Amino acid sequence: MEPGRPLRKGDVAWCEFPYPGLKKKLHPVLILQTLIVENEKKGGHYFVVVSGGTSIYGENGRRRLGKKHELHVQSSDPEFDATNLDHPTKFSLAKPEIVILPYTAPIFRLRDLHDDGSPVIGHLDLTTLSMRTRLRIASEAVGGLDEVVKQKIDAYNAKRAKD
Amino acid sequence: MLKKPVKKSTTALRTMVPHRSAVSGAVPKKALRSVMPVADTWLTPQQILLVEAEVRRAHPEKLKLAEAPLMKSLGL
Repeated sequence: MEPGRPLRKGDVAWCEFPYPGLKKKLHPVLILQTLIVENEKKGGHYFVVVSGGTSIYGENGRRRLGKKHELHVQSSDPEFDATNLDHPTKFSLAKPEIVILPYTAPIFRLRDLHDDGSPVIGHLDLTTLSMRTRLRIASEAVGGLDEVVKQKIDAYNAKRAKD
Repeated sequence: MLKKPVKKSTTALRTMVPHRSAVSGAVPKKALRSVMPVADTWLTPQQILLVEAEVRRAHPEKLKLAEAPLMKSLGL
């Protein structure tokens, strides 16, 4: 992605996703929502709600067990090419794996110099029938994705007000 | 006959501005502040953190959606 383009829902980016109990490593994440700071002028820093992604196949080449709350993107999917992902990937919509992060370095960063100067490597088209269906099933499994995102934002705001 | 304007020498212009050392305690605070060195506002990194925390407490960062929720925008 060209640097400076506004982020969109469905963008795929490289991010140091805070998986609990795992050492810090770059993972692909799916941008579910862009956020702004309410009491800051337009053009201020971005926050994003992201879903952590991981390869569908483990290091030993065996397929990892799929779960209902995961959004799978297979290499055979027509949407796969535009994501620029290396491997078939699954994005989890489970509550602990949906995180609010500031869109800044070093959390979001280039994986290598071929990434055109932006941590966003591609875009997953969520408007196609197959992706909409998968997203709906995964969202229902967590009791509504919009509701989970709202809860995350409320919890974040409550924590910041208390600090 | 018109008098040719007298060009003031740069030395004369310089003497019109009082030197910083000439500013006495009687000068209003605002003017005094303008001649105070910038280093007077220097803070230690710890003090900066305290000030930042204070500002955050007074104006807590509040996030809100920049656009319609994902599922709603997809009509799901």
